[in-house]
Amino acid sequence: MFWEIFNLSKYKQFLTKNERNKLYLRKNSSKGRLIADSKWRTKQILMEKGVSVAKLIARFKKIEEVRSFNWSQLLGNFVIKPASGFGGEGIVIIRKATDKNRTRFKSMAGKIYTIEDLKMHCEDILSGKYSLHSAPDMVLVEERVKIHPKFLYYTKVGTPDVRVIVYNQVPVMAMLRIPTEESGGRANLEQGAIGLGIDLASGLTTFGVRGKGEIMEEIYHLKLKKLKPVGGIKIPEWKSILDTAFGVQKAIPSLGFVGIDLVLDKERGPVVLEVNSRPGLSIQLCNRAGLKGRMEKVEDIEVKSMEHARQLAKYLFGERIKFEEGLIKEKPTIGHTERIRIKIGPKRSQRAEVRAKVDTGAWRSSIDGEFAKELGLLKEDNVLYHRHYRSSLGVEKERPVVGVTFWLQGRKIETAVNVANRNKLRTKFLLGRRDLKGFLIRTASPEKTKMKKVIKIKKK
Amino acid sequence: MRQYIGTFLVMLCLIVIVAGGPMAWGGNSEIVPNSTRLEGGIERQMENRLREDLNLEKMPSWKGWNTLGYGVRLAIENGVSPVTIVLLLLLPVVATMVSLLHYVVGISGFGSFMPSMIAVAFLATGVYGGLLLFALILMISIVGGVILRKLKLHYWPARSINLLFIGLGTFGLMWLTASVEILDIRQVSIFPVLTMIVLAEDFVRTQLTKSKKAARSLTLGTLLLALAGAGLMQWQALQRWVLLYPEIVLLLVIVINMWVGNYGGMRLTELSRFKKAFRK
Repeated sequence: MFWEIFNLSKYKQFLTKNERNKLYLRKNSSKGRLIADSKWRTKQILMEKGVSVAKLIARFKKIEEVRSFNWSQLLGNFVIKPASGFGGEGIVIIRKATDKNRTRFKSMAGKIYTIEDLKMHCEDILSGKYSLHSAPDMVLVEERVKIHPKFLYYTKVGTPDVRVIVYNQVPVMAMLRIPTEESGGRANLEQGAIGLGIDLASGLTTFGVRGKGEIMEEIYHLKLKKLKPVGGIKIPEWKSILDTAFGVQKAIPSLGFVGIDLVLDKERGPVVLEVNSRPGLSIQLCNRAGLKGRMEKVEDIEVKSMEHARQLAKYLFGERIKFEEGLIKEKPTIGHTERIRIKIGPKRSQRAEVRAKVDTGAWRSSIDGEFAKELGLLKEDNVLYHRHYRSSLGVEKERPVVGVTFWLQGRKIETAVNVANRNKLRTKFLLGRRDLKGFLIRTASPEKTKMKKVIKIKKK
Repeated sequence: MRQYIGTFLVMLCLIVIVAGGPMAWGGNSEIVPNSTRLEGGIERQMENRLREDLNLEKMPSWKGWNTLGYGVRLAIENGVSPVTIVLLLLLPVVATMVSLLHYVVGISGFGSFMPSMIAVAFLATGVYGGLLLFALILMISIVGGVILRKLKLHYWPARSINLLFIGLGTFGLMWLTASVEILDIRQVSIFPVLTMIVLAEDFVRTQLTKSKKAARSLTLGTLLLALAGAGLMQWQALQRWVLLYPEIVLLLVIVINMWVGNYGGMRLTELSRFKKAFRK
């Protein structure tokens, strides 16, 4: 119905442009914005704090420096950038020299640049063609980070990168940005690149968007020569990507709400390209989730460590249903009580099996306090945050919320669980609605044998 | 509640556009070229009409709250052009509408000032004349850009040569329209031409640095906002009002801008954008 669009409560989770500009950009002080707006300053600070960044080949502040630079010493694989450009404007990515004397270079977009062309482009940058209000600018020549083999077959042009949005030191959303021919090898959605949402818990892609609003279900795989579902692409080194993003915000604390662009180098791991103090909002489309809802959740949490930040991202914002194969084919049926296996260590044998009660009246699952302590789930890094609540007697109380990984019917679920007092109850674990997505619940007592027979007869 | 106010204001805007629009292009005789040619320009005609309107109203006595209105009347009696006053006082009104349409509806142009400027330009050239002028300047800028890129000049000299092309083209258009007698832009002063050039430059620049799509949508947005603005400025009742009761109009400007300035909700266009992010 037409009027459905006016059901505004459904939109509450999304961060809108007005809200971003009015409320959340205030978390970035002018000092922080100054750093983020200059790629040179960002680079300096991050290098100081030991965050890996793309290698600098040269930096020009004056036209004379451009002219006297020995361009033919470059072998290819470099990027020319304006230090204060925005939205990927004015960036030329050179792949290789096309002749022996290195006088002509081929860009990622397939354009041929002579050295004269490159010099002119640098002069344009210096005169402020790509900077805000045409202010004079600086040129950075950086080494091009080569495409990670994992992404080799998703684009012919440019290097895919990962954008992580960090708020209050917690990674809240991420996407894989894949350049297209339309975007000229640049990974900005604004220019027409593809964005694939990433599940923060597993590092698997989820949904897709092209440009600023075209929904994508499938992406062309160059080797298989066919369309593949956008979900289920595994991002390598996912943990260290999240940790690097956390490190960037630690290094620039004056930025409270920030989009961090990283590329994966085969040898060096995640390399920070750019820090964005006004991250775009299309990331919500390819994750099919709202930024605002997530940001409000972590707003008051005091992040203690890198480990804590990663746990928060994983257990609060991880997808309930994994996108392993891109598609979930069937919905398993569960009864009103089920046995679950809780992860208590990295090894396969370190699982605790427990009977859990299914309760669709509760939103979040809960676990008995004593039992959780026994399993070691109340360790400092594993306690996500403390929840204030008012008990039925009107007393203010505080209870921890912990991250728990468990298996139900063979399906892995990573989730945030309330710690409650269940010692007088028969089941130590209660399965809430939040973790029951993708399951069918059978309310009557199971009569498995009969059911199977019926199905068999039908098949014949 | 907040959302309802937003919707209401949007409806109000649309009504203004719908009602004011026809007046801007062809609804009244002002823009029809023949009459302007007979009576010597849009401005003269507008001035005559406004003076007539004012003569029907009695000169108010000074009551304190109406200082501004009283001053306006006094100035006109002393020979200040009422057209200038109307345009001056309506400029913030147009800017208000542009900001309302931007923050609440979600139509974006090149900044907020550009649409207001183009609106004034439309007022001087008439909507058809203005669009024709803009189309010509844009075409010259694009074709000129292609030629100049081959010459590999520095950025600013290239823009100067482009300006030369535009100057010649506009001159040609003036000469052509004068001899063909379809649309008359002979009377056009340099300022509307200048604003159109700035808009065309913005288009070319955005196309180069961002993308063709962005350039197209921003230019269309600017023109749309400018058309709405021109419609508002051509609204005769509003013109009369702003001369007789400038206090009320300006107070309204402040009130609406305070509201829009604090508006943190959705833009109307964002509804359909985020609708795509719902999970089935």
